[in-house]
Amino acid sequence: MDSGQDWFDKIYLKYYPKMFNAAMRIVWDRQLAEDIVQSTFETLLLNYDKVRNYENIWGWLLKTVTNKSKNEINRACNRREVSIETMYKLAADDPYEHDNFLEALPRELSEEEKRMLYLHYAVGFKHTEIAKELGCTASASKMRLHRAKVHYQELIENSSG
Amino acid sequence: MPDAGMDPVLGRAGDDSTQIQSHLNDTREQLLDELADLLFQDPDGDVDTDQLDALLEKLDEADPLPEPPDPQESLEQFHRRHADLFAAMEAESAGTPVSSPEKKRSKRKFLKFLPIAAVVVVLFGAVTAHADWGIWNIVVRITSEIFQIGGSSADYAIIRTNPLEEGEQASYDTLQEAVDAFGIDAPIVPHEIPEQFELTEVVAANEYGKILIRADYVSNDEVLQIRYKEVGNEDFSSLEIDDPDVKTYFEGGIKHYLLSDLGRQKAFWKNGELECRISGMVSEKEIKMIINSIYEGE
Repeated sequence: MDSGQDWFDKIYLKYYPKMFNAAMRIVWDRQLAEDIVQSTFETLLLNYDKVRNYENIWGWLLKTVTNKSKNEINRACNRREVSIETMYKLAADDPYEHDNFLEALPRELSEEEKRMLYLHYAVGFKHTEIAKELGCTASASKMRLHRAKVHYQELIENSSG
Repeated sequence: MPDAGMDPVLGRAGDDSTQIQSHLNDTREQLLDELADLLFQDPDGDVDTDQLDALLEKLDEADPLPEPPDPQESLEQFHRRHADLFAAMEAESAGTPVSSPEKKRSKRKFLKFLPIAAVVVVLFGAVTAHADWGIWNIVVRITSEIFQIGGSSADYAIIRTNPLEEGEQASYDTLQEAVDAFGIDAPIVPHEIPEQFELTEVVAANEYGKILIRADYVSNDEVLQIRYKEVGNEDFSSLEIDDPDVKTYFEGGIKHYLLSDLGRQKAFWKNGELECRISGMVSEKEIKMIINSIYEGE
């Protein structure tokens, strides 16, 4: 039987790519996905005695990495954040002037991404309201907005970089 | 002569690849929406990992992600970060007792929060002493990573009445008149504006079911703007702004954020259902005077 460390290392190397991709599909941020995966393996290590005997270790890993990723999304959504980046680097002078808001968004954003940012930041819609407007579920709205924010942040960082 | 790029059945070659790409995008979006529903529609429910696994595989086919970081390098980094955990694991296997890393982490987390809790207690005491308020009438709006204390909702700005249909707007003679029209009785309107500015317009609008009230003042070519935007009555959490260039200014029990941008002063804060903003070519002293005048007499 493998030693604890050998067993752990095998599990890590085998499942790391799939876990990383699972986290990426939710948080859309490579560094954050990496942190979440490492946090998941930390949890595995802390519960090594129990988890080692599970039949479906992949199921446990997937559930854990997914829950940690969801927590990150929920944390970001529950903070009623008004990013200074949003307020300043978007609309030139007045983020409450809706025309300026849309015009000032990076053109590399898709129309759907711009619309998500507009409905959330300029109009102030909650996800239930955005969902009604776009004909999707509130859950889908939450994830679409998160992806739009991540893409927007990447574009802003690249342009100022 | 036939168009070289035109297929008599499918049309232009470019059209065909555009259609395929459009279909793939739709498939990706549908799968991503499906993923969102699986993860978030039942916030307390367990996710079906088999269903999730299958969906993630479909996504990988429809929309492959860039290569993940090298697993071996990641593992080596993990070993460096968590050497203590591995040592504890090996020691346990060898039957050598060792203090649990988890207990150490719990203690570290508690100690981490202790200074913050101490600050909250001090602030709470300071506000009580200063204002001579009864404890349960105090509304302490502290933005923190841990918790927020909320008392009576009487001081929160709530839109109690809405005279506008969706898409409609109305003009008012004064900002106070506009605020009164919506039944907002919390202090949000300044009573002092720098004397060089003259009020030109106060407009309230109902856009997508949300109220926006704006007042514009001018002085020669300079403008001063005050804005109140409805953000909903379910989330009374404080506005959080995380930017090293932003100053905080407490007045009236509310944390205001001040920022200077190319000589233009801006102040943001949240009160109840409204996000509030003042911006204009004024000094920091003047914008603080404007903010102070909101709460004078309260």
